[in-house]
Amino acid sequence: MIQSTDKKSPLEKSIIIRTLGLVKSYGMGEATTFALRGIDTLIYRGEFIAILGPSGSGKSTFFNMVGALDAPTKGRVLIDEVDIAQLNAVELAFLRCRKIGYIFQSFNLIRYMTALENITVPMSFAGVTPEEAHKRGMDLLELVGLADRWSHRPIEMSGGQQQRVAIARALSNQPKILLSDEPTGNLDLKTGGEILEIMRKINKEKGVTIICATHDLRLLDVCDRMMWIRDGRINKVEERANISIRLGQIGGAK
Amino acid sequence: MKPIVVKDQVRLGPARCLQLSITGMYYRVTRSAITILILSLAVAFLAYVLFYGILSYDSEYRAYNELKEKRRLGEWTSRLSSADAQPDILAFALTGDAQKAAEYKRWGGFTDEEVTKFGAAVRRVKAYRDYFAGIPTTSRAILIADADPLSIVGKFGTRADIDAFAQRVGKLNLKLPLGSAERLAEFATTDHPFFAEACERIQRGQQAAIAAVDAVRGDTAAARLFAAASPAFLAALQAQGFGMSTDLFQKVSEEARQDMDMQSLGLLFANRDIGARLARQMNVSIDKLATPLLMKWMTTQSRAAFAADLAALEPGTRGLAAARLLMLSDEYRRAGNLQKVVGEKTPARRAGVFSMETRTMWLILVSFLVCLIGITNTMTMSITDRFSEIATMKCLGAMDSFVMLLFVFEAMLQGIVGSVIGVFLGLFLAFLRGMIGYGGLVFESIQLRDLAIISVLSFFTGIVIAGLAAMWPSWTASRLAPMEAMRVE
Repeated sequence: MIQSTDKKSPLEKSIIIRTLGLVKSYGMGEATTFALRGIDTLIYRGEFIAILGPSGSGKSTFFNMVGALDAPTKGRVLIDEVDIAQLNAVELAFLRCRKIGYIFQSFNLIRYMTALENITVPMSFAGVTPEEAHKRGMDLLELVGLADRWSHRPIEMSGGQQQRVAIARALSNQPKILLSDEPTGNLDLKTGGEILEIMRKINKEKGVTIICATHDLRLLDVCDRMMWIRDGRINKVEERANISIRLGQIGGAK
Repeated sequence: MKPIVVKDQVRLGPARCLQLSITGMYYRVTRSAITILILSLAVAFLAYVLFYGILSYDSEYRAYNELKEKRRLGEWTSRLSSADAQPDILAFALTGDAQKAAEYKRWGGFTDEEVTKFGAAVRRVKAYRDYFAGIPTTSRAILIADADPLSIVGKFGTRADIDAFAQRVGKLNLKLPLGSAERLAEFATTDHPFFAEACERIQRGQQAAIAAVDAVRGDTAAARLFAAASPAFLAALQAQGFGMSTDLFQKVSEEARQDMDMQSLGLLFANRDIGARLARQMNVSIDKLATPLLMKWMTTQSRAAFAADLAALEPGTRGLAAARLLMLSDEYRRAGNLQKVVGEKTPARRAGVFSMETRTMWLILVSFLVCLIGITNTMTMSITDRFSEIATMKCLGAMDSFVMLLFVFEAMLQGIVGSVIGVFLGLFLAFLRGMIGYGGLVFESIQLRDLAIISVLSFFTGIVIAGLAAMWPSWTASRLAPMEAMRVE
């Protein structure tokens, strides 16, 4: 078990995700390949945690387990003290709808819907009335700074704008956890930075736990904690406070 | 362990699913159009084949019957000149015509019992004849040369004869006529002699009846009596047991009158003056002038009036009125058209909606199979295309049933649109072809009930095909893991 030396108040330090001996393997017998070889970790409420690791390290697999998108071969994932392996299809849908927001590297907005419609889709899955959904959707667009573009379709927006809509969509049912897979992977430096700002803001103001898989080293500056995964195991976990990061700039960027 | 409360996880209603389906289809309008096109073509093919089949059949049947009615005068003239021959009696007895049966019963002086026996004998005779018609030509040549099968029945008089014949038949790997030696013997000794005798009785009776009618009509030709609608003639016919009702008599009379009018019209051309003027007007040389040509030329009232004026000049002909001339020419042209439609065919009993050739049925089946595969393919492509969209929706809380419904609705909508287009297209094409082939006859012979049956049937076949085609892709889509959303394209 990873010991945390976080200095937050005890009230905020309740655990939101706990994994116990997480193992994921593919194939059978001698051909078995292990993606995860036993991961025990704790993620606290309101934390911004970055997951790092080279490709093939099991980072994505870990991510899918934590996001209730995939079932582990062995071990358990507890979200809010609920073992997700015990949940049936409806309960899983409920969990994905209300508890977790997902942000994808390729945004995954629904192409034929406007920004506002994209944001209200998860609300309709949660049974929010159209009027209420509309109001909440506009508030969220305001939060990500795109209120004036509510009627635009994804194709009419830049990558950064699409990702902001995606963030607003992820937040539409006030999730406790925001899972984000390389949120800046498809964006240029500047817009990537803006996205990170928004995520930081959400984390601080709304107290949403953010788990973020990334290669983007700037993210290390905004996160609370970082976790390196290597060969299906946790390599090391560091507090942001214990690491000194200096951000350089690449020609011309302000 | 903490339970998770899901009581307010919403299953989206059909209306919302439908709305999302429509939005999705609107976005992928080309792909939807392909599905609709494939389906509509298959449905159109089905509707076309069914409708054209029934349309052409009805038209031919109608034309055949109408032509048959037009030939009544000739039929009656010949019936009044000689008795029916044995093959005719057999053919009439097999059609089961009630009027004929009554005539034969009277002329043959049959009791009810004999009528039943005659019916059975007729069926055996048919089976016997069919046997010889059904075996290979070479075998028939070996067995009976080119003799009429009925003329050699006498050869099966004794058991020995039959055994000898059975041996010859056996060498050719054939069965005996009527199945067994016993039945053949019974046929040869009982049924056939009875049939032959009955036929003779009928013929004798008919001859007597003809003679009685002849006595009444004297030297006047039957056609002339029909044309005059002589009541004494009708009474004589009815008294002698001919199946002639007053109604029928009137129809034959009208036909006879038309026939005589046509003949008198032919006399017009004998007058060179009139012939020359007609020929000039019709723009043909005078030696080519003939009644059929005149009939075809006389398409309007003014032309008929011209011919009527000419006819009035000739004292030898009955001056036919223009209206009558026009009516005659219309009748003539119509008969020509009917003849073209019917050709040499003799339509059998009215067939149902589904009477079609085996080949056509296979064609329809194959077309639907192709359609099924085509739609499945398009839908699978559509779903593969939307993998990340479906998976994202699942990440956002969509349930399997919702995704399934989304695609089922999509397929159903496409099915409905495609089927409606297909039905209209198919019916239109069939109608068009019918119009080309049969002209105005299709309007008269079209049956709304058949039209409705074919439309509804084709429509629902289309829906079912669309539903079947969508089943597998929709199921695949609904089972898609939400994890797929993480995949980067």
